[in-house]
Amino acid sequence: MSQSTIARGVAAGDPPGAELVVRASGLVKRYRRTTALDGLDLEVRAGEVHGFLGPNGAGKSTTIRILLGLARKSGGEVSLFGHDPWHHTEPLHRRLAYVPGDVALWPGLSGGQCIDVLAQVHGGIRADWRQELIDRFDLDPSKRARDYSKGNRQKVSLIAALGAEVDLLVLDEPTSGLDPLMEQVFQETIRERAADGVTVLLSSHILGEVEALASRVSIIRQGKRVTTGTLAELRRHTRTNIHAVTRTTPRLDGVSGVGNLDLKESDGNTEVRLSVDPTALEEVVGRLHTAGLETLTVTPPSLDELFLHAYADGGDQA
Amino acid sequence: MNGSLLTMVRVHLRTGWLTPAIWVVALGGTMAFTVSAIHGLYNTPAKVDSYAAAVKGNALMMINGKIAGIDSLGGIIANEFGFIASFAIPFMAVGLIAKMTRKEEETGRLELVLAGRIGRADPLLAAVLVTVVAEVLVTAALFASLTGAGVPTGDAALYTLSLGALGLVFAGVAAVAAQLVERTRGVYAISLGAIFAAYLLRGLGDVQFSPLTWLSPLGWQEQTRAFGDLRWWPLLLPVGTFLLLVAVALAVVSRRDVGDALLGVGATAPHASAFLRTPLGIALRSHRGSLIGWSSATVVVSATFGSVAKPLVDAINGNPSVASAIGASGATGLDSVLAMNALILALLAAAYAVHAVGVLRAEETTGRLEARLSGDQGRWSWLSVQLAVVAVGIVAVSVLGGSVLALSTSWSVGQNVTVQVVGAVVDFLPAIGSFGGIAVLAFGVMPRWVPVVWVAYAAGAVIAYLGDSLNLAGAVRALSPFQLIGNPPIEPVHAAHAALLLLLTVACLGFGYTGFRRRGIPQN
Repeated sequence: MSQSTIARGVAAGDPPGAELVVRASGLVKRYRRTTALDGLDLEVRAGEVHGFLGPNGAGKSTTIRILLGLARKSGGEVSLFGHDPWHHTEPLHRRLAYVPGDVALWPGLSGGQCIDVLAQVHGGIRADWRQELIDRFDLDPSKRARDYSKGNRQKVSLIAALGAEVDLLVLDEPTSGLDPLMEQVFQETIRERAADGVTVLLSSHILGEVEALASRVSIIRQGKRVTTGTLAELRRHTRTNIHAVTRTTPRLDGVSGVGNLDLKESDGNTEVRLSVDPTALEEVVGRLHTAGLETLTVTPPSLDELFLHAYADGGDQA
Repeated sequence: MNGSLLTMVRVHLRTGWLTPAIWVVALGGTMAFTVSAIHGLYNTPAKVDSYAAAVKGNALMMINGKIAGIDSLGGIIANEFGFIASFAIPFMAVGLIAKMTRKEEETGRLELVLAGRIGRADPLLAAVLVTVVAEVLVTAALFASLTGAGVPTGDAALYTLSLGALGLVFAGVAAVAAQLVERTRGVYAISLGAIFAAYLLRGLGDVQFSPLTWLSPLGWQEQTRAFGDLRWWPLLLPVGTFLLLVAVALAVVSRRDVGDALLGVGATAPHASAFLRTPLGIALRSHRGSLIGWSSATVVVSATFGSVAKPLVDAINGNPSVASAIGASGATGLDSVLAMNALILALLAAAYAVHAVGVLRAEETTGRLEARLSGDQGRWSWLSVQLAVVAVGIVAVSVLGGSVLALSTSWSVGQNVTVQVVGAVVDFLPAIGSFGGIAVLAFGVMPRWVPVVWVAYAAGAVIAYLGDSLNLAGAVRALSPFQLIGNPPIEPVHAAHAALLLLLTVACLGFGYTGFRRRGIPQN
């Protein structure tokens, strides 16, 4: 597959500002009794893999459905390649491919036929890519769709989408049902497409997948964005865990930004466990050094902690 | 046709070509066969005249419509074919539209398609186009057989066009219904309700010589007077209605969210009641819709047919040859009418039986059966509870319809006929049950074939309805359980045949049970 690093997000006819492939601001979607999106902001830059995260019911699929022109916004602004996705649906769809989290296929058709039907509505599939993807994902294309497991249905949809020559891939929990081996194949293929300059909007619950693929992420909760940025940026705002063994007892009282402090005497040394705000990191490490370091382990916050925090309480920057 | 629409037509045909193909072949074939059979029976002017003399008057108008030019071969065909055409052609249109629109949307496949280069309205428009083509093929087949039998070209053209236009109206009705409700079965319920309403309005209008006929698409079809003084302008009514309905459906589909419907359903109770948690409670819940639907349809049809019994009885008593036209030679007018209405009721109850077993199949294809059987309920118990509900449903639909028919007929003819009517309905129960049995057999052994039982049902119904008038051979008639039972209450039922049907039903149930216990679940 070709290697090129030019972002292919922007086309000649796009209005100014289209270097943002997706731009939503104050996006609102109301259903009969519920509000699914309550002023959502989202920006996806051309050429990036953007992780789109949030707890169940946060509004991820609703956002994607609005971006695809499958649902109509109730308020706010939204654009895809600088165009309104509801009014320019068809031309916009020439530039994207979509994989839903729950793939329904035609039970009487074979997997290969389903791929071709989906490819037909997506404007074709490259024959060489089709075969390569079928091999990679280890799909038996002659089996009827009714006999496929959820994972195999997912593969059909992935092959049809990843085999299309498009500028944007919209993936809504695309790997639910895939085994770890196929998850690796998926990540590999997405990396290749991203290297080709394809923009990817990846909604996912699998944090490892997001961590491995996404250059930036947005976390939403109850129809609003809670936080966005690169993973490094998000981490920078999060507490670091420290485990140290010191020869004398360190003086840590009165340092603001220290939490979960646990001191234990063992073999004449002191075992210290604590978590610390980024602002107090330097001071804490200094005091541990003064107390005479035997061992020191500094662990950045895991993504899980980061997300759990953002999911749970609105994420006012952990 | 733009590229996106053309692509969508291809997608419809590629993913679902079989259903329209079956419809076209089955319906076109039945029509061609009926035409040639009638052509063979009424091959001299004298025979045609005798038929005309027999059915003159308003006797059969309720059933077949008021046929202009009944003293011609075309008129006889239209008269014999009226009842079947009234339902079969609209059914085909409704079935095709529902399958290609709401069904695709309900399963989520439409979302995948619309994420591609397909305009929002194109799947609906393409479904309408495919349906129109299927209607054209069916009417072309009918036109060919009519002209082949010697019916004048103009008459044949107008008649087939009027039937095609009839189908278009209900294609439009189904297209709008698909915008109203979220579930495919809701689309069927609304559209079938519209077909029944059209049928009853046309029938009442014809019998009463009132303008009610003009409120019914079936009335418009009839008013072209294809074998009389040909009128072309009534064709404008169905075509206009079709265009209007499709325009409304397209306007809605272009504005609404995918997966949504105008009458979307909201939230409901967060907990299941104690009863709903029992196997019987959950079974009743699954069958509720079809039970209510078929009971209402049966009650309405019975009430209508019963209440117009008197003019029919008088007509037959005044002209005994009419009785032979409805397969009841030598019987009194009252008995003939009772027999005809009892058969219609039995046809409806048997349709319920097939539909109810389809509910079991739906439990399986939606994955609910698998979840159910992974709990403490075994297969034997699950199937038994379901079939008990179906059996009670069959009896309920039959008895309810029978009672209403008995009451309305007694009221109309001024004489208590409760015993005869209910007796006739009970006589038909083995025939009704046998369709349930065949459906259970399919469900247990070859579950994908459950929908095909409708084909067997249609064959049984057509043979029962046309057996006498077409002089079908005994071997052919024996294929229809209704014909095997006989003609209650005119003549005593063939007890041996009834026993045979019961035996067949029990055997089907037995094989169905065995198959169901052995086969994999789910089989999609």
